[in-house]
Amino acid sequence: MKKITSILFTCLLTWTIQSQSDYSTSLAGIEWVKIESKSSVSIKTHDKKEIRIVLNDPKPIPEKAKGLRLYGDAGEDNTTVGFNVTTSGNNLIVKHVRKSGEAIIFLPKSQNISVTNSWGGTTEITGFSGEVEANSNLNGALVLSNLTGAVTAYSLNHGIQVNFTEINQNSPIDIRTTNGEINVTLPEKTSANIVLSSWNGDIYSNFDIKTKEKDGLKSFSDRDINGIINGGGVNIKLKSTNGTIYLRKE
Amino acid sequence: MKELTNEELMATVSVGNLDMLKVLFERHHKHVFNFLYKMCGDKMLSEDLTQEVFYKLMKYRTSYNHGNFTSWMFTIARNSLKTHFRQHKENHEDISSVTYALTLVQDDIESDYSTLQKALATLSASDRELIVLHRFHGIRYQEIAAIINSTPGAVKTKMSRAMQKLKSVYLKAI
Amino acid sequence: MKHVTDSLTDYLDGLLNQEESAAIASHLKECSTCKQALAQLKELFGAFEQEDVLAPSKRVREHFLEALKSEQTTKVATTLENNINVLPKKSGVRILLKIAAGIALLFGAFMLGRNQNERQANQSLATQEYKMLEMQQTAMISLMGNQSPSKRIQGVNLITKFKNPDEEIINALVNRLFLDKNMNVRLTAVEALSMFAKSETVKLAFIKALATEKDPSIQIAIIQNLVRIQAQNAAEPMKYLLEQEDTQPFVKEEINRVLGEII
Repeated sequence: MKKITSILFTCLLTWTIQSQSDYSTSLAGIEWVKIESKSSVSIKTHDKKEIRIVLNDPKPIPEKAKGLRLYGDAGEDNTTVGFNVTTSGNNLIVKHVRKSGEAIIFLPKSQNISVTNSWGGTTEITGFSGEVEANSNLNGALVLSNLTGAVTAYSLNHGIQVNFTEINQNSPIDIRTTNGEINVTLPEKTSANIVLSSWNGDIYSNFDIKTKEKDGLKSFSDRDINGIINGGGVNIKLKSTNGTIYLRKE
Repeated sequence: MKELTNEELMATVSVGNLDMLKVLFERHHKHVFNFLYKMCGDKMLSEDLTQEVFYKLMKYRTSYNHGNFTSWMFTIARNSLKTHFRQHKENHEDISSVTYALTLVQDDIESDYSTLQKALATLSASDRELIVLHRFHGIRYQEIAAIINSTPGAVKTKMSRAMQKLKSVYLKAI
Repeated sequence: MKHVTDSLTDYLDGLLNQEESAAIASHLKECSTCKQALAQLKELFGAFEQEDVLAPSKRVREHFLEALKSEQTTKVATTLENNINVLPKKSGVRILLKIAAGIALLFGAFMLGRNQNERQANQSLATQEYKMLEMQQTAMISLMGNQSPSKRIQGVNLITKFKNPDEEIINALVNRLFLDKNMNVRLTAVEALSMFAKSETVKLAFIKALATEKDPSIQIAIIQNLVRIQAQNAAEPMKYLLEQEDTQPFVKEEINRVLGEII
């Protein structure tokens, strides 16, 4: 009898641990996944049409919290992994309830993703072909890599690093910081119209940027470097107030 | 004031404003029709396929992600033509299955085909499409490469051979 | 010099640089083989130019319009719903309804214009420009109402098509500045509005925004514009920003630098 109890207990324990570190739900009918967090989140691709959230370093739930549910200003934890997940129209809203603790979120490659970090930590987004919208409203860093779709990214105090493996679309790419640096890598053969501008920072590039004659319309400001690479194409704008800008060839 | 570019119009279509497709239709349906007609020499078929191309632009609007609208449009036109001949000829995957209606017309029958069109008809479909896209529609090597899934260098080489063939056929005919 | 037959196409197309062109021209003077080849190529190119562009029969347009209409009747509901999510509630619905009504009129007129065009060759330039303007406004507002920030930026950027945008377009841009959730879209809207900073509406919007704006990049961009147009009543909100604790030091520095210029 004692043995059975202990087996049962072990099973229960294993189940509890698993359920606490892994959550998934279908993405049928979802166009945008909107993630809000106050700490580091890493977003990666997988082959299923679902979202899966995995705690990166699941901290043990405090003894005193047993039987209780986690609450935060982002709502209650309805996933057992510290996230609040709700649907709104064709959006899936994913809020990190805990104020610390890192998570990995898996989504299909073509998913449109919007991430807002309102405190700090690093937001990593890797391997997507859908549109990516990334905002860091305070101190978070944005590291976006192996992307091919449209990107809009903004960071207040920290830097933005973006690495594109291909640029094959028509929607503009717009990357801006106030105080952090912008570090963007494009494939060498990218055809694009480029605007680079920093009010107080320097601008570096190894692309051969052919500057257009100012026609009074295309150029919004005297500080803009406004030109084309490889014959021109999609609009790519990198702008900062105080940060340095790097635009590199792959 | 500047006109909206094809890409801007198509972006607007892709977010649900289908009326803008009328503008693209007015701008391009003649080009699509003439491309198809030069490729197959069959007016009725070219008209049907022109409709099909714009129908597909409408149906696949949300997947429009390519930088260049005309490349995308001609890719769809080319695929529609290929699919048509594949369905009617069986087993041929590539553009070479596109036969020219002209070959069915006997030489001595008077027709409205020009000498140039007759000369074009003697080329293989894959040579013909390069010349038609480049010479009649002004599509650059780079974009043709994207349309036929090749490289600009390969397109250039193939184009120059095709032009040689065309020149010799054409000069014999006049 | 070798024969230049391989380069003759590029030569005729004008794709060669001056040096290459000159070399071929001088070779052509001496070489009858190449000269003949050039003449033949010219003949062929001439045939390309003379080739007629055919028009398909009317049924192509008719069928296309039918297909489009049936797609529209099935689509309208969902698109409207999606767009309303991002547009400001009150004016959004108004704008959308206006667009819907406008489209019906505009494109009816547009297609009618097309058909008439085939019969009577002349159409007044003013009407054509008017239609183009309407079309651009419609495109701009539809794109700015999309869920995708990149599409909204594309919409805002269409402002470069207008020389004298009307109030409705300016207000739509002002709405992006005040209400859009995405910073990139908001900053793009500031840049677009900068082109029309002399307009009273834009000036007032900038002054109003400065009083509530928390983002330093937008603050700086607006301050620069207000200085550029010498907006007298901009000093007040700038002084207010100076007094705020959470205003970033470099913004305060800039205000101190420019305050003298506008008073």
